[in-house]
Amino acid sequence: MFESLKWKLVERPILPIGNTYLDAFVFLVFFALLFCAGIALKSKWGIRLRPFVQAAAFIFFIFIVHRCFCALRGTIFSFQDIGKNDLNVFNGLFIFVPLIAFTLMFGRIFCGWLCPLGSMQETFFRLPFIKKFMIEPAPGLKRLRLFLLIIIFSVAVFLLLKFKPKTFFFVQNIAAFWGLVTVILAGGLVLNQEADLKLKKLRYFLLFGWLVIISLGIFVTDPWCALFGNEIDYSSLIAFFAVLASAVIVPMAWCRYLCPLGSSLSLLTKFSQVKVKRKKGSVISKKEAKNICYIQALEEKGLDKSSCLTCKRCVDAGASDIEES
Amino acid sequence: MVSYAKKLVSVLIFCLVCLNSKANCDDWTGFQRDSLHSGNSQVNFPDKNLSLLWFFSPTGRTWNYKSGSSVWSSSACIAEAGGRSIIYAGFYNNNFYAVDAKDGSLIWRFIGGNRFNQSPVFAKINNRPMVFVPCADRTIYCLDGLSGEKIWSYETLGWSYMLSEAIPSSPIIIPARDLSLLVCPVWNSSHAPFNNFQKGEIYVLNAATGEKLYSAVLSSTPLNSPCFGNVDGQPLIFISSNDGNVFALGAKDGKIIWQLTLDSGLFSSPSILPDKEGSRIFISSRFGNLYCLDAATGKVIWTKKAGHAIDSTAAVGTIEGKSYVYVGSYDRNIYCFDAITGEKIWNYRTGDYVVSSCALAKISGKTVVFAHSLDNKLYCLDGLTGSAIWSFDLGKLIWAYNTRGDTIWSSPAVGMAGDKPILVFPCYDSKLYAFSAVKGGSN
Repeated sequence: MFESLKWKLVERPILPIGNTYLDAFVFLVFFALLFCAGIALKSKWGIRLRPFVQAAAFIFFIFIVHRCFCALRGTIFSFQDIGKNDLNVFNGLFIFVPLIAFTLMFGRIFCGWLCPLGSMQETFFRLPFIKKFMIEPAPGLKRLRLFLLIIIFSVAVFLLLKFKPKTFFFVQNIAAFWGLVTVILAGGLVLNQEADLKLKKLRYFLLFGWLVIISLGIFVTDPWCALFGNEIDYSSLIAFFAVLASAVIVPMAWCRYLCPLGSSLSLLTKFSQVKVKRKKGSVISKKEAKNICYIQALEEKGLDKSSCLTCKRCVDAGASDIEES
Repeated sequence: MVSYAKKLVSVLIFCLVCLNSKANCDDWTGFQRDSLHSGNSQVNFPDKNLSLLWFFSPTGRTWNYKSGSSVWSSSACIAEAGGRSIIYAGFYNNNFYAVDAKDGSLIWRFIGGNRFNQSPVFAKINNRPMVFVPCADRTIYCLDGLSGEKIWSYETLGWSYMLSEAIPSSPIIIPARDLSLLVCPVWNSSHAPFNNFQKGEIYVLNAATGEKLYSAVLSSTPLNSPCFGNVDGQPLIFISSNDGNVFALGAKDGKIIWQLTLDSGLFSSPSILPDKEGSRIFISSRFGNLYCLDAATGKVIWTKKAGHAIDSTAAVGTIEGKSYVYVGSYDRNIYCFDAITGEKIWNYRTGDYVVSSCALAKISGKTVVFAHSLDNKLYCLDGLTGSAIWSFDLGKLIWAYNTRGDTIWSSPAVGMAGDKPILVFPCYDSKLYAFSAVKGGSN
């Protein structure tokens, strides 16, 4: 059924590094996108420029990068290859190093400005009828949200049973289970709004588990793989749709609770040079905070810096400022 | 006209070379049967009901999986030597085995310094049956096919405690310089703090004596098994590397004739279809593409995409005058493509990744495809329609898991055990299975 699907516009390296499949073009564009996002973050037109950077990144990651853009798994595997396979080490690090450098400079700029999975979830949030559904649902709508989550969960379980991803009960297909976990956590939030902060902390435990599994040499999948890796892997595909569907009910559920790359980058935000900081004395209502901040890092008086994607919407709304250390 | 005649002569020479390079037309002399990597045997099973003839288990022990572990060499080799049909295969326990194809009894074994992951190649040199096999101990061994006695060995790199295990590939025997040459790629690496290196090097040795004629470093990554063809009268070696390159080398001197960088890591070997209109090379990539290249220029003729990575080497066969290419993919399918146009003829969905290469043979005169899927089954499909004829359940993996794309999985091989056609499959449960047709029998 999937064998004829073909969505990558580029299938060969444009600028082969040392006559290998590694593509310098990918590195250059990735660097350029991060650079543009960094400049835009500091400029006063940042909020207007952001959709353009997001669109360019979306096209670049999904249609142009001809190989798997494996920012975390690839990096860990490449560390294991030091002294054994220099090409693999270079392949992993030439994405990871600029990513770390820019995060230390601008915070989670990759998550907020470049990540296509984040952009896709955010797009749902922007749709007016969905936004209303998410921010202030009437009691009836709240029940409907829970009902929809149960349907999404059931469909994902059905698809998993139907397609039986390889080594079905084994950890390699962690993506499949993470898709389901996203739905369950989103359900937790629908039932209890106050649980959000506690659920957010879960991501660090999950990141730790994920790192341990990868360090053992297990090729774990995640929802990224469905689109960016040019692979029709059932577990990734089912997880990908579960993540997108969850985003219709709870804004950016995957980025909030599970994304291992986002969680690892959020650990670095403490050291970032450019930060979004709440204006002293500014207080906004819960509803307004939810309306402004997609990932709900913005609180009534404060800001959850580790969750902040530096999208600048709160700065534009006058609730926060950009601060340089 | 001159060009056409030249191509025709090339094809004729090529066929003669292929006939010359194997001891018997029913033998499966190396990885994917021959130096073309056709995987195409003319062995004809009299009946479609194949049943287990015997199995050979060199050790009753199981072992722990580690990333990249393999059990048997990537494919067994089946050849007639001294009036006996013998199966040769390397094993993870540093042993190389010769087994009687008729009953699975052990004939001899040879102990190497490390694992034998790659297929051996069999050839009769000066009427002496010889088996050539590279080992992860950085050495290429030449053994007597009948006794297992070491005739010569060639150490590609002297021992040092900073060296890693070598990653060799299945060798081939080619005729060039009026000699039988052994072509064997070996990847060696040193993780010394200074002057460390990683090099994928192709060694060309005199098969009779083990004397090195030349070698060429082609990549910093491991190389895959080479194939050989005469293109426009020029003997060429085609080889791929894990860093995404395909090379055509002059067989006489190792000079690079053309080089093509493809989309991602290449873990499959090239195979060649000799054709009077121009020989074609087939190679598949981890990006999921199957490429058909012009053997003379390296130009891409057509590309077909599967839903996931392809590691299996393409098997090439001709049915009713038309040539077909067969590959398995990580998208769980076994594909058949028209070799000339690239049109997809059929695909068969298995329950899991298809990583190893297909073997072609005949059942009652009809071409069939034998393929292994990681759903733990060995399949037999109709070569023309892709319909399932037979399958054999090999039992569950004995490892808790395997890292995707890391393990070398064995491929089926077809040959003769005396006058009886057999299908041989070295399995991950440490057993070497042999199947044969039984009239009215069942699996």
